[in-house]
Amino acid sequence: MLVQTLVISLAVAWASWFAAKRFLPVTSRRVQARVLASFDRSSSPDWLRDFARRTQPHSTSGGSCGDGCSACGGCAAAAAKPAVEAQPLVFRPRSKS
Amino acid sequence: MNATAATLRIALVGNPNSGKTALFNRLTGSQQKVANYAGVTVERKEGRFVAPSGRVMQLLDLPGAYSLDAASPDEAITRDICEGRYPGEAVPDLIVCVADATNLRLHLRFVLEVKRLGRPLVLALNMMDAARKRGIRIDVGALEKALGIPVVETVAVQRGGAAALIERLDASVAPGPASVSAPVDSGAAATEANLHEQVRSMLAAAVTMPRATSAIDDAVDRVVLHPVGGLAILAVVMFLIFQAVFTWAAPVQDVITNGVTDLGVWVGGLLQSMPLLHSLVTDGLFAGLGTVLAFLPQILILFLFILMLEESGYLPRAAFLLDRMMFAAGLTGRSFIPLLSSFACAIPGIMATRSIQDPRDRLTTILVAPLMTCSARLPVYTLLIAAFIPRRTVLGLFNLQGVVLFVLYFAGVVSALAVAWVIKRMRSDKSEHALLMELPSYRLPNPRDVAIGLWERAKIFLRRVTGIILSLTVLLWFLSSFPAPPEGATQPAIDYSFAGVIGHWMTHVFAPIGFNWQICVALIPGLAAREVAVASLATVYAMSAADDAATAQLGATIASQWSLATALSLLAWYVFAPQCMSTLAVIRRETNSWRNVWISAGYLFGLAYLASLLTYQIARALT
Repeated sequence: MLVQTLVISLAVAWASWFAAKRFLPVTSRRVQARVLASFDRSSSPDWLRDFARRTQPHSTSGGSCGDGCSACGGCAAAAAKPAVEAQPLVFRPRSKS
Repeated sequence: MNATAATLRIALVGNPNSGKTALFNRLTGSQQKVANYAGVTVERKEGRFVAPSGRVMQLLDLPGAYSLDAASPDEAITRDICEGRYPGEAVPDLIVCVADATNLRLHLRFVLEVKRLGRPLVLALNMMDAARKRGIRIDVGALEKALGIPVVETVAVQRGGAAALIERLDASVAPGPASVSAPVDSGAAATEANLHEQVRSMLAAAVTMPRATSAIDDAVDRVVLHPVGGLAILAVVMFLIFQAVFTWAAPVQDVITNGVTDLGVWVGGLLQSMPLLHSLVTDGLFAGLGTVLAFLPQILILFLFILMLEESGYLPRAAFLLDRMMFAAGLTGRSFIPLLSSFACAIPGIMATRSIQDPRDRLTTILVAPLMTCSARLPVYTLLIAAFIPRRTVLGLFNLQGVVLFVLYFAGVVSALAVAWVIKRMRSDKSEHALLMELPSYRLPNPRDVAIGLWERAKIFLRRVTGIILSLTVLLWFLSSFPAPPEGATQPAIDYSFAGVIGHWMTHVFAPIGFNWQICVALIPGLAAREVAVASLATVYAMSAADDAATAQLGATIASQWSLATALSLLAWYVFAPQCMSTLAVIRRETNSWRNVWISAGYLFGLAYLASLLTYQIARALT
């Protein structure tokens, strides 16, 4: 029973983390960074500090959304903001002439 | 760091459909999407390669542009990078202007414009193989002399076709720190008329063309661009694609389904002593993922046709044919390619609207793009069609299931046109109607490119199955398994689970459209990705199934438990909704507005509910 509970807990934890990373990329990165930062203290063992530093999340650098569904690192990511000024739609009334 | 070791930053620019991305792929080994029409690349893409001397070349692939006087958002990216005004992007050390050797009359004008920037420039005469086939002779030396820049020949689609360009780039010396430079305007002399005049004199000096257009292209266009015959051909082509999706995929689908079922039963047998784990593996993983996996052949067949049409050069012709109809509905022929891209996925389709110049036309296209039937809806459609529509022949020729699938895709197109028409009626101003679109030369699809495209599509699908679909299936299994039923419970255990409670609560809203609580539960993860709805249905029904073999037979289960009215209602629902969250996010990004997100989500859910309500009530009255 213990093995079952452990395997299922791990599977559910992984699934939750994966879904959060996909649909709340900024929040999940922030949470990940905060949790790992708490491991990287002078009182922590060296291996834990090393692990925390190595697994600190980096800024998104996935493929572009234009490559297709699921190709990007999460379209909702703030990092994927418009690259050029002209990109968002700006409406200007046309002259009546 | 010496000059040889310094990284050279190179930008690939040129008119749309000149082969920039094909050249980028050839140089960097990337597999970016290429197709035979203008507007495939709408974002900057970056890659690198090492030249024979060991020098690192950083390559930027930029959207095609007809002029540096940008008319659309994708052209603005190219202009801004070339002029050093793109945020966070240094001016390229060297610009490689890619020109279609078969269409220099158009492409050289842009080369002259780029030359005015005053940056180091190389002209790559691409598609030289096609030019030679058409008897076009180019005196490269004379062209170099006339332009005053190095000119090299390339064939981006051939191995070794970029050797001359690599050699030339390798010999380039990296200039000093690049400064942000304003365009070097050579005064009043650089007018449009002057550019055309210069191009004409260069062509006279360096190019011999037997005729301006290809004789074969002209002959084919006389047939496929015929106002009546052309539309009939387009309808037949689309119809045949959906026939093939059903007819060709069936044998491979059966193999996958049987394989997954057998494997599930075998693995389930190994886990008999661990009931919870057994349930997770058989009801969750094998039932959920296995059901979705069986739709891979159909998705690949659909993309085989789309890729071949993209490569052939037929798609811009289809846009031309449909322009009048699309304009009547409030769109333009330019909307055709973004809408067609939405058949794969709404996200690249919405991104592709950047090539639409009029912002109102662009917004209309963005709002209706989710109505195009994306490939994620295919598993839902085919599951329901296979379960409720008999596999029989109509008119002695057509597969009835294929006909129904065609009707569903057609319903998506018609509803997009109808919504666009309503938006047009609500707009106080009107767009000018002028479709100016380049019709590329016809090309036989390159089997290697088609194979790469299919492989990429298969990878995307499998990544979804093993990523988002797997994770949501595990979560749904958890929600369907816990908490355990109370003592003395009379209903199936799943009715007391979190998922069961949520599903039963949702039926208050969805019962009028014929959805049972299992469908309601599947709608929620379907918001993440539509295929997950199929996996979720499989998991929810598998949790109630008595034996392992039954868990993989979702089609048979729903055929016995749902009414025809419910199935038709669900099909109607999926013509309109739900949009996946990634689509909503990309609408927010591209329109820079939450309002448009709410409008899009709201009207689609409203239409979905209305369509399902009508479908269910009418079907129930008739059956």
